[in-house]
Amino acid sequence: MTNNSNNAQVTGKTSIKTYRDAINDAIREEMRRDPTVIVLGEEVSGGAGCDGEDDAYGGVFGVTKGLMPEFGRERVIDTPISEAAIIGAAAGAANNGLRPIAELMFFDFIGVSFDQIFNQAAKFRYMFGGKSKTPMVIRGTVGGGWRAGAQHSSMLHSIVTHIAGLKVVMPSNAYDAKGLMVQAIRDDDPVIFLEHKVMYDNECEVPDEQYAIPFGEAAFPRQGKDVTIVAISNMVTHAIAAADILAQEGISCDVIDPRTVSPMDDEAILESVEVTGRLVVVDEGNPRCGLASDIAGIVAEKGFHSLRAPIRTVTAPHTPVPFAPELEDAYLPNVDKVLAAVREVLGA
Amino acid sequence: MSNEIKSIQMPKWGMEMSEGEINTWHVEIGAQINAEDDLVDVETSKIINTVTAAHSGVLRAIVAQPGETHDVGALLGVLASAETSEAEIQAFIDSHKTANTEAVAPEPVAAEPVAAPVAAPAPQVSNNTALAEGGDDSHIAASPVARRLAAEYGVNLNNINGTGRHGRISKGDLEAAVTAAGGQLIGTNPAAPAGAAKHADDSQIKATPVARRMAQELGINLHECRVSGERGRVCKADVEAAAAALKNKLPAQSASANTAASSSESQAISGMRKTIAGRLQLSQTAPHYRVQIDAELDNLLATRKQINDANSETKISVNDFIIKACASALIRVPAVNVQFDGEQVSYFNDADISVAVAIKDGLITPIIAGANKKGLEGISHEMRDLSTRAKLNRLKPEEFQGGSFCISNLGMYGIKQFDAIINPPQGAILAVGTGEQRAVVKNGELAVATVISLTLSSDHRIIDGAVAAEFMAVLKGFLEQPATMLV
Repeated sequence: MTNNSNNAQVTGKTSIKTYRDAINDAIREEMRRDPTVIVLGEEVSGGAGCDGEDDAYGGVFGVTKGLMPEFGRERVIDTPISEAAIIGAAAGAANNGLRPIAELMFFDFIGVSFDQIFNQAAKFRYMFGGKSKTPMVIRGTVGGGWRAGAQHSSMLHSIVTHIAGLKVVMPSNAYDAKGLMVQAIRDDDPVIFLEHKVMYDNECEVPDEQYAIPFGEAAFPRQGKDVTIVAISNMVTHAIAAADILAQEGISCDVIDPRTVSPMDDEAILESVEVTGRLVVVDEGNPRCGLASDIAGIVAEKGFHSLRAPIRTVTAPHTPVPFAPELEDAYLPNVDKVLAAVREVLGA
Repeated sequence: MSNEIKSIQMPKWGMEMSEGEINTWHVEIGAQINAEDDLVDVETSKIINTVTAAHSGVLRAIVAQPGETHDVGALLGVLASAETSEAEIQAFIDSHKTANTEAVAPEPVAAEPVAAPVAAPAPQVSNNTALAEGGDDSHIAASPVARRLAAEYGVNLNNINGTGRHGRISKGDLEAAVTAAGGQLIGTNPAAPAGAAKHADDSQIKATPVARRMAQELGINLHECRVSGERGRVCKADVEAAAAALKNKLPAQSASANTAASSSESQAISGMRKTIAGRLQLSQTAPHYRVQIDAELDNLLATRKQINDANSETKISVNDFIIKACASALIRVPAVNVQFDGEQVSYFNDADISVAVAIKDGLITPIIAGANKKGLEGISHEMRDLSTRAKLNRLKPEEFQGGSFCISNLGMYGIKQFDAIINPPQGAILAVGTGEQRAVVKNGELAVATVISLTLSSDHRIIDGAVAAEFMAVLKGFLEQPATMLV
């Protein structure tokens, strides 16, 4: 994994880990280190009340597998199917000294817990003049490609990015996922941690020791001079693939992975555009009022005079995610769409 | 009573004064002040003067600290009764700040790393006269950076070739034009990089990815960069600044090992130096030409001896004679006794003669007003008084601002002849060399005479060659036969 940026200083052993296991590592190590860290959500352990079924699931994606046996049901809490209760309980616990990690399973379910998130947790510190802190992590899965239908495939990151008071983290690889989860748990503000469900089995080299990646610092998985490609979450995978194809044609790309979309590393993007003069933003979300238009807007406003071509965004169309596999594939941004956009800004 | 809060403000001494630097406060917070009491010394571009109290009261706050520069009208301190509460005083200061944010002193907080380099772009482009000329350039397509720099450096965009996007003038175009004119745009100069850190491992230094990459490409160690990026990172601009500093520094180092010299380069110029630089640069818009003439001083020296011998109190100098002779010549040739602002010519009935006086760190031109109406003794006394007070920075603005003609005398240094630059908006300046014994030819025979070389620089837009020549001939006549000035 190439991460040519300010990654934490890691000296020890590394091993190849999946995105899923990297997050699991981060949570487990933090729970060992800090007894106030708890996990709650639907089936985060699984099998509650059923003999021999404890830890049957570890969450439907298996991210919290093995935590209950080690830390017990007091700290790994299977909840009823009520997102409002999960987030409400987590916010209250955070205000009272715990560091809860609440799981929303599918981030599409944010709707039924939205008041707890945006009108409560996000505002406590602000409204109480800094006297209250809300150190909670809300985990949720995002994204399509999993044949999960419109209600389990959305990219709703722009909705939470819009809300002041929330930090929004979207790791694109296992290395970042671990370091950002550690930082999210240690952070004193509510952090929305969005895991892309098609990336859980993606592997890369991950240090065994704990390390925290600071928020607001973009990674540059590829470096180049001709075009800047900003991509988020799973779209980074496509952007890197596109950059590698273009490199063979002699076109070099700065691929920027902001890693956290709130705070956003505007500076890294603007500096890169100063060099390349061309920008493509790849985001799986819907186009209107989305992150892609937000980044395009930042560059149009602050980096206009560096631009040598109009900005191009590659997003999903403005519809819900289709269930039919052919339609879903057509719906999602992919390598070809990124390549086309890059060629367009290059005038090729 | 208690709400009687009075402000002490930066005064405006003369038309040219736009700001002043706080020198010394004569009073301390809590002191009872009476009207007319001396409060604070303020240095302007030309003088140091004392601000006196307009009201009586207790000095409750000193807002402007010594060393700070404030605009005219800025709040310097607060006078109020002893009963006025601190909160009221603070509210008064705050209201003043919001009312006139321009006047707020550059507090340490304002000195952000990004802002700091911007503080230095004094117009230091030399020889860009041609670039400054031309009419309205607001319609010329230029990048905002290029337009801002052009405004800062007094460049008219009509004179620049645009090669940027869609033929726009870019920053590079401006740089190229200014460089071609022999000038230099002052870059964003960070603190000089520390050479010792050059080879140290910089992987631990926080930097944006672009900055790190650029530093590698340019061979710059991140230790050498200032840190002005977000989240405590070295950003691209920091690396660029370090590169510019390195570039500026290297030739100087190879030319001489004197590092002390390079440290003086970055010294900010004083207010006076700024004024001198600005005015003389302004003068470059005036098409100068020179006429030179020699005058024999033997008669003048004899007359001077007579006068000085007659009264031991009197010490008339040759310079006093020159001032008097110029005044007389200006009345005789009034076309030289003028000011020109580029649009209008002003003719004067009296000869108000500015005399350049070298003082510490600069020069100043106190004025002998109405020199044509004054006797040699009056001129002599006044000149001595003015030059003494000039050296103490104690001239009043009206004593050095204005003047219809200027004399610069370097004779005391043994300078035989030199050219002077017109002090705008005046139309001409006389450069006076040393009076020395020279071989001259009189009636076909070699003789010795005390001769002085005089050079008049004139603005050809308003003074033609023949007029300047006539003036010089008349001046020569008065100097060679001083008695004719009595007529």
